[in-house]
Amino acid sequence: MKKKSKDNLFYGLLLLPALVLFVLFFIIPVVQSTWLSFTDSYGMKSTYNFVGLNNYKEALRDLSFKKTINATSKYALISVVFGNVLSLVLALILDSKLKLKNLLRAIFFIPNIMSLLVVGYIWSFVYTSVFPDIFAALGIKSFAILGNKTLVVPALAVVGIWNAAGYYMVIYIAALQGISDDIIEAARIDGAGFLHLLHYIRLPLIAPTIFTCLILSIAAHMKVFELPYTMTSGGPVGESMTMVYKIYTTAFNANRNGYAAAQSIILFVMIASVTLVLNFIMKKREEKL
Amino acid sequence: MKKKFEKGLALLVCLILVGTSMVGCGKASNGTGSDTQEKTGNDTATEAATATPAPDSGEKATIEILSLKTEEGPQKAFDQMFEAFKKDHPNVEFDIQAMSSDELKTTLRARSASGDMPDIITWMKEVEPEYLLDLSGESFIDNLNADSVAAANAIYDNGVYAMPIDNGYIGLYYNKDVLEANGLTAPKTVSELKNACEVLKENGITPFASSLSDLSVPYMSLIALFSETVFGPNPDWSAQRDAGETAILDDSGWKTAFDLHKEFVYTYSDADTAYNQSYDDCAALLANGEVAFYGNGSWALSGIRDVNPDANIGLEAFPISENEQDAKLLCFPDTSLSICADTDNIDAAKEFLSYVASEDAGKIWSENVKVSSTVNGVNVDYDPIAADINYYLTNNLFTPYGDRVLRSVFTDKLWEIFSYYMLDEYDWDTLAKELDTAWDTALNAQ
Repeated sequence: MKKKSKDNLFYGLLLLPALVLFVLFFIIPVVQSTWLSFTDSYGMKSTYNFVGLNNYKEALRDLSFKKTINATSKYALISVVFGNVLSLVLALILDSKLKLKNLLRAIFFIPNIMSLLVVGYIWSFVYTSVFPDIFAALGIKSFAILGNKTLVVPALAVVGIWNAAGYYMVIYIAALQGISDDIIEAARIDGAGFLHLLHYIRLPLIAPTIFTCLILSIAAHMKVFELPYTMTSGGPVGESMTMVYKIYTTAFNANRNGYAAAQSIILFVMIASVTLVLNFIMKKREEKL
Repeated sequence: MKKKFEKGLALLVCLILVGTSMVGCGKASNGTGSDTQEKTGNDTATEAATATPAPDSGEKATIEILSLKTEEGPQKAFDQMFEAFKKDHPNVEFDIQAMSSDELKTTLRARSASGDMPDIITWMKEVEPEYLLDLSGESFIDNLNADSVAAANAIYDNGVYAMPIDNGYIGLYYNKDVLEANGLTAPKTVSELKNACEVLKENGITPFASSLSDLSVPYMSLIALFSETVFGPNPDWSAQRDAGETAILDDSGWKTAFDLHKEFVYTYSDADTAYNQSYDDCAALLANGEVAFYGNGSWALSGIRDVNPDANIGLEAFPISENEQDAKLLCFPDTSLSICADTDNIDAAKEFLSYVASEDAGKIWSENVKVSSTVNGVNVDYDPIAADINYYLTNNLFTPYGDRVLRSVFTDKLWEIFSYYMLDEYDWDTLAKELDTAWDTALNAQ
């Protein structure tokens, strides 16, 4: 055997453990899930039938599923936009010569190490007990924030942002600290103030990181489950029923595994589409530069 | 030479990693060398019966029980029953895990997929009969109320897969002191209930306790109402709907249930705070006399008593018309036990169920859980409220058909959209059509 072939075999064998794990825990479940979406698999029944595209057709006709797409998109839009802005602002603050920046960095990051289920229960208490008490103390008529059709999704998004802001902040800090001091100094000598530095130097240089954070946060927020599960049960009138929560109830309450798998594939396609569009925009932008 | 050795070592480590991964993906073995994954329930049951030791044969057996009874009362009852059972069966140990209904469903689904079901479970309609042991013909089943056994297994075409151990109910709790303080008595008709709510409202008291953040609270009242308006007058309604002879859209009983639910549970609860109230809050409101009415089931009683053991409360069927006799309490077999078909401890499990069906165990369960037992001859005065329930039972003013006999696909949709009608998001036609579609989907999915 030639040396090159031998080397290739050796490297292939080195890759084998990772490949086996990848196939076992990613490829096979994805293929099985896709296959399941074309069946009428039901609950714990061990037999099922192939039903073609019926589950997909039903999902596209299902009013409540369409509603979950709206709720998820609304939640993701608010969380992604405001969450990234907040993370960037925090990163800019902590990228300065602030004395307490290490302490503040840890404080801002703490919510991210908490499970979203725990976060959901904490904020449920805040919305249902703390806020009404504050309203009462201020002499304002109490109202249920989580029971308001207009406010419920933004209220959940606030919790999502609170939880994730520290994570994206750390990524932005790393990107900001990667900007050469020479460039900043040169710009300052040329008379650039904070806003000019931000607009013409910092933001353009960390644009790839911003795109990465956007993609990461879109994928994360589109998959939100714990917050509606712990805080609203999808209510009021389904306004906060997100796609993953719907998939959960379809699979575990209605026991319709096949239909739930089809809903999952639709969610996957949605997230993949948004990611691809963002990637396309990013590449176009890089080509321009 | 050194390079070759390093390469060889790297390859060896890789192969070990691959081997470990593959071993981790193997099926669990039950220790007897039998693989239960691809056997039918009957096959495995028969094999287990011949292959496993009898409980008093000297070999140790550990019965694993997965239970959805997470409250303190049932856990105490189980512990006492285990102790009593072990006196005659010293070789049997118990491993019980209590979890929420959702957790149990998920756990059982995962364990059935890997052929690793426990020995005994608290019955759930989601568990297909192929995973459960048919208890037909077992002598201990005869110790139980025959109607309860029949109602508990109504979902199956034939066979006894669920052994009911208590009877639950869903009805309207009322606080007698609150009513009396406002010059009222327990309302028996719709107009009396309406009048009571108006009087209470005028006197600054919220008539109904309800939660909108935990939809299980208002949902229970809805179950009680449609049981009375639909299944009370026509126990065969489900069969007729399956045959296409009727529909929710055309059925006045369903509309009456939803309208009464909207009129009382939603309109006469505190809409401003209902989203901030939990299941426990609602029990506390009734126990403390802050509301007069609370629609819920037998499981809510312990929560009410925990807050105020001396709460002067009563229970009645929801009034559904101007005729008092139309009000029928929803009484149904609640907690049921099932033996899993592929258990390795079939004899011990049967022995235990036989003990659970005895009068001694029935008393333990009834006293601790504060429910009426299905065991013949057990009549524990577990709570003053038991007299109210007995009134309905002895006068044949009850219906056993609640959501327990409805299919999961339908109840999931009902749960999801019932509040849409209550909060005016849906009109009746839209709601009823969606429910009819869900019924048909459920019928086809089963």
